[in-house]
Amino acid sequence: MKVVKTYTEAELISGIRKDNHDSFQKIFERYSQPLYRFSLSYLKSKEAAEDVVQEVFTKVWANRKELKTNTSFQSYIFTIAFNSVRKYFNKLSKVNGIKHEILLEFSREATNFDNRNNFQLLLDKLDKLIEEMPDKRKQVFIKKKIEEKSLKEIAEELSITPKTVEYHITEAMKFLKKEFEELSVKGLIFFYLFIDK
Amino acid sequence: MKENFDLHILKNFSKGKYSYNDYLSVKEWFDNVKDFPGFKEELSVEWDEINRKESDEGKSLDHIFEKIHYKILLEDNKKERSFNFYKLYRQAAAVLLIPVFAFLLYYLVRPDNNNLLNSGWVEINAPEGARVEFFLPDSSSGWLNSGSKLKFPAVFEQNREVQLQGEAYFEVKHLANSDFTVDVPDFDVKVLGTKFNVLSYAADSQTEVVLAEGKVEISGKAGKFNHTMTPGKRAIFNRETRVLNVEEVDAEMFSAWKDGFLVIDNESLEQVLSRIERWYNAEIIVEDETLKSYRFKATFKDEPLEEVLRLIALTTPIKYSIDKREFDANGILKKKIVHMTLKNN
Repeated sequence: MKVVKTYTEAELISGIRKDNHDSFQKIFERYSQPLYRFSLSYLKSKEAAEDVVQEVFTKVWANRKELKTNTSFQSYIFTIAFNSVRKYFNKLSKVNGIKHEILLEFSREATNFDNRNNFQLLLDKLDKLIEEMPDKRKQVFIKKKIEEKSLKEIAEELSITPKTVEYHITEAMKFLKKEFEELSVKGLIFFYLFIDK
Repeated sequence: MKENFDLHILKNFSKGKYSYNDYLSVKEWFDNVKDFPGFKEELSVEWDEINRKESDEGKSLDHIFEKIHYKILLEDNKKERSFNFYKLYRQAAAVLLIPVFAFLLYYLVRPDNNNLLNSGWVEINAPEGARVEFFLPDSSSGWLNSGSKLKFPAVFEQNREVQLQGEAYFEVKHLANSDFTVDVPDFDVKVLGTKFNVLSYAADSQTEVVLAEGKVEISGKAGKFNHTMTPGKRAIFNRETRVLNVEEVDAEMFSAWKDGFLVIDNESLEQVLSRIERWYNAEIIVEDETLKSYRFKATFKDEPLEEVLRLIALTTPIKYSIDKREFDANGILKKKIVHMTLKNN
């Protein structure tokens, strides 16, 4: 007869303290999904949310000798997770700021842009449009606008002339402008969606 | 002007419904957690809620676990390696113990203790990268430089004789009617009571004696020459031409190594490097023959190899690189290997 033993959390914690990898894996299975969803809801980035999961559990293992079996592991993990989410939020806010500037550039007609409550939608649309660009143009655009590299740097990295870099940027901006204007005309973003609150 | 923490904004933000101004608010709360006490609490409540809900949707995070696990195993592996370092130290300590055993052996075989071993020889080794002080049965003493070997009888006869490979500094005790002879491949150095340095590494192209005090007599192995030295002199025997040259020197400089000084006095790079190799237990590969004729003057005290090389490179058109050190089959670190090339080449 096969006996399936279910472990209590305290048993798993004391297992981790004794360097038991299986206990660690069970704790990971129990908390990684909630942690991922929690991080994603604030970071809005799957990569960053995964990074948080990795960072938190790496810390849990590194500090395993200090784990306590008599207090709630759930609140212990929150303390680490909170700091980790904060850290990644700050990291991402720089990139988001840049994207905001790009969006602002295409939405001059829109009044009260800053108070429309679908900023996330605009960000997602921008990401989607960038994704639609031809490969080289996409690379150039991300390097120039998001990573804020100079024309010369990009030219060297991609082995093209600075003139070509400039051309790609101009074309990319034209493309985005056209797309956002179309959406605006259709009222999808700058009218209809903004009003729904 | 600070806005207050707004739960409604936070809830909508987590659901992806927010304006840029809302985003700025959340950013402000994350930046200044302490000024918005309700913020962290609300996140904590949300965290507990997420954990209460049993939800099996969501993508697999197995690959993240694999990554973490890989890192953990890597870390464990490193720990095992540092254990090997411990083994290495033990082996190094064993090498250093050799001289200690030599003394022990001497005490064990003192004439009044044990006559059976009277005819035995004792050997002291100074491994490369180390210098060893020694004391002989007649209470003469001295220092053995890196990569050198000194052999002497457990009990001295009427005339004291020691054999040297490498470099040693001697302070010989004067005994009436008893000569003290240092035997090196090229000649014998016969002394009364005196302080002197003998340098005779098998790999070098010359053998030399520098006399600090007293009087020594150098006699060639085949009776080719016989020279009596006076203090402050340096006798150099060229192994190729088999000629003995004597010059005046500052004798102290030639025994400064026993006090931890590495003195280079207008020597060619080739000579310098063979000394540095022994001093630091390293191997230096010179990739440009022309470099070997550069001459140097410098004194180092307790400098690591990297610093000595850096200083040499600073004053000469020499470039160098140090190879990553590797372990041999027994887990012992191999010698450091340094490559030297001409700059701008």
